[in-house]
Amino acid sequence: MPKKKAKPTGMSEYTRTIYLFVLLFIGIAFILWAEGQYEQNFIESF
Amino acid sequence: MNFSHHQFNNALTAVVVGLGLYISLLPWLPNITLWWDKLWNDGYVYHGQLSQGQDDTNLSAPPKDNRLVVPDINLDEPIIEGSNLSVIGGGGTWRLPHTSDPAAGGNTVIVGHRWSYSEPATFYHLDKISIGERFAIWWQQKEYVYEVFDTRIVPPTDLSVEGPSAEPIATLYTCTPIWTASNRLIIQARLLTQEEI
Repeated sequence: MPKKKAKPTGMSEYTRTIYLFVLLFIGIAFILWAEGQYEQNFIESF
Repeated sequence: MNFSHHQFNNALTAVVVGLGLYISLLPWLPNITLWWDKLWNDGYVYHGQLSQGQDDTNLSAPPKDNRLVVPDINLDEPIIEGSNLSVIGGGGTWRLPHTSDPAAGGNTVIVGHRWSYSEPATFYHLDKISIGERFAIWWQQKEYVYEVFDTRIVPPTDLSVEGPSAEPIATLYTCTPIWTASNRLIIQARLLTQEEI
């Protein structure tokens, strides 16, 4: 009798890729947002 | 070379983790480097009247450029002249052109960046300066020593700190708090006479 394959428990590689790109996007967007806030507020006083 | 989807995801995970560490640790890095310098290098060693008293026999050669030196926070940066803030994009401090300078007396106003991901954190530790501490300005190869008499936070619209003064003073300011730059941290100090140094 052939052995049954265990069901995959984690997310698929494709799903993992999507999650990682979303995290990467959030990180880069955060840096750009923080820089924009700083520049805008700093330049306002000159 | 066979680069599988699994290996690609592992590499991408490393990039995401690295970015996360960059975002979360970089704002605290100046604190860590200052702590480390004071722990192992015994802080900033300054050779000027500020630390030597009136005996100037041990003074090192005056710097050729104009500089701001605050030994307590390991700050030793050039004072850059220019018409706008972009002159300190690569570091240093900026003397506001419409204010005085140490040789002329009055109010010398010097500004610097506090902290951002892309700008040098020149005035990061300015909030650690307290009343009574001293710093020096090298101006045209002459040293001027100042003693802090006031520290406060004002809104960015309060430009009175840039106004002229009868006494020779220095005003240092930068953004506060870190991240937002929504207010200005002001440090004001009076020029000391040779006898007071």
